[in-house]
Amino acid sequence: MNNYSNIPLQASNNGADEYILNMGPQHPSTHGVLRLVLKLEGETVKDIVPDLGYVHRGLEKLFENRAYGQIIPYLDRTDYLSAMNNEWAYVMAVEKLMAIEVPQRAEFMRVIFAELNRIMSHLLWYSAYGMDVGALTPLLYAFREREEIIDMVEAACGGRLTHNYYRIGGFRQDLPKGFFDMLKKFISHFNDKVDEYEALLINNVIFMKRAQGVGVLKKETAINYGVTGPNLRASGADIDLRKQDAYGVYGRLDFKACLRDNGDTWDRCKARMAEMRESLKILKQCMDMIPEGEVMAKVPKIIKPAAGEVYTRVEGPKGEVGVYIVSDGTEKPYRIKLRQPSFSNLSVIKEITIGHKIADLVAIMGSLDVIIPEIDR
Amino acid sequence: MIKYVSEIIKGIISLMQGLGVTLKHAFRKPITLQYPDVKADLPVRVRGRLVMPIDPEKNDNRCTACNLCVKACPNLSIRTEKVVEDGKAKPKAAKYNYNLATCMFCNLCVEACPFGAIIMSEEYELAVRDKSELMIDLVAEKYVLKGKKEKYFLTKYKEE
Ligand code: SF4
Ligand code: SF4
Repeated sequence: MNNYSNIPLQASNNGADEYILNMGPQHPSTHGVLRLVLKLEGETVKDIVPDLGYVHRGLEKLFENRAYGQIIPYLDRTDYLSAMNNEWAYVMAVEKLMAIEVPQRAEFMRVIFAELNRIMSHLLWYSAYGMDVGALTPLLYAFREREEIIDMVEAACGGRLTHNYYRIGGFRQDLPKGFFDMLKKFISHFNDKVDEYEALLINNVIFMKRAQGVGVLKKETAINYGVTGPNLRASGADIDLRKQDAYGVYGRLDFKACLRDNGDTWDRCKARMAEMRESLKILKQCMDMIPEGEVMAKVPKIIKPAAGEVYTRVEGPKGEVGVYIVSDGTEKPYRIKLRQPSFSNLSVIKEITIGHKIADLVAIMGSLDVIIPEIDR
Repeated sequence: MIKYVSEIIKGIISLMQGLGVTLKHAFRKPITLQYPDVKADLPVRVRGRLVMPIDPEKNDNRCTACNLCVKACPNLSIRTEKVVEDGKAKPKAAKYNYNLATCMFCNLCVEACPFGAIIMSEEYELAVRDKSELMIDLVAEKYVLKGKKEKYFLTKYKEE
């Protein structure tokens, strides 16, 4: 057992049927390179330790050598499924540090793109989760709608996954011509598509039998571990930063946080499905309310915030995305710390899987919706 | 017993719902493109690799080797060499070495250029057989833009 010297797990030798098993780093259901070291008895999970760091790039250290404006493209590469939410947390921090007022049109655009990214991320979660539990069709259907959103985003910023669109003070460019036509078309049919997804996978009896009552995450446990996002709301805690902080223009929009009570795997799925519908509502309102005007505030050419510290957070699709900046008054940040949700969301896995079968572990892992580059950074 | 039967019926109904969704799709038109025979029509802002196109008015590129793009690039993908030709006030880039291997297509260099000399093209099939081919001298390349991107470039990134 000395091969696992960095993992504090040991199978007992006194007659019990225990053994150690590696799941990953190249396991399809770990969604990237994550190794889970399992202690099993038969098929029952007795203990579990995640081993991280396979895609660690040292981003936080890299940031110390970059000017403030150059950091934005790197943030796309943490949670690459919702790049704009990361960018938003960061630019908001710098804007707060420099007391920059963002134009109204840009604020609405930020909400639009953040919500589009949220739907994108949830759609990918849905398709990947279908694959995890053995259904191939959801992937094909969800990617069709995801492609539509990506086309929209690509028309606006030129990138499909690594958007690099938010700027300190607003946006690089205004929306392209015809963007709202695309958005309108998407809004008009997406609700039906969510119905389809639910009929296809989430409300399927076989799936329900597999998901209901499995991996129950209690509200207290979730809060103690710092779980955020849909995972937390599925456990019944009414915490949604879009409501609590009401950053941007979320305070002026009408939507509700999607709560569930049981906190099992199925509830986490349902919460995400409901969230997609809420996002659609937000998009609809933004489309009607968005004013004309500038998209970029007056920002000095060289960004040089005064010395100080700042923490800002936004509600990403997976939970709270926070950026903490310490500035020493030069062109480069002294230190940037990223707080990203997947790390805390993964850490709770030990609490909720022990005692379940190894096949359930796959279902639980998928329902937590972790993304590895965000954990490792 | 009744519970057992009702559960079976519920199960069948839910399976039928799922089947209905797939059945509906059997009659929808395919949305896939037969790449590489058919290629998608890309929006004008799309970010392929960096190019330094020839400006037809000058019959040369617009670069003055001011190095602002070099400073804007987060990962040092650009290196320039400057020359001042006889009898001309403005310097020119003799070489503009662009490292496609480290570039992350962020567009920051294009935004930094005050002369609109560079632009991200529509090229996205960028695989090569040898690593050395990823080092491109954009001045020597004398790239000529076509289509939507050309208009975008000539009007200095204005649409329509
Ligand atoms: S491309 Fe533009 S920014 Fe770069 S050296 Fe030439 S003129 Fe300067
Ligand atoms: S696109 Fe970004 S990474 Fe590539 S050369 Fe320009 S600034 Fe550098």
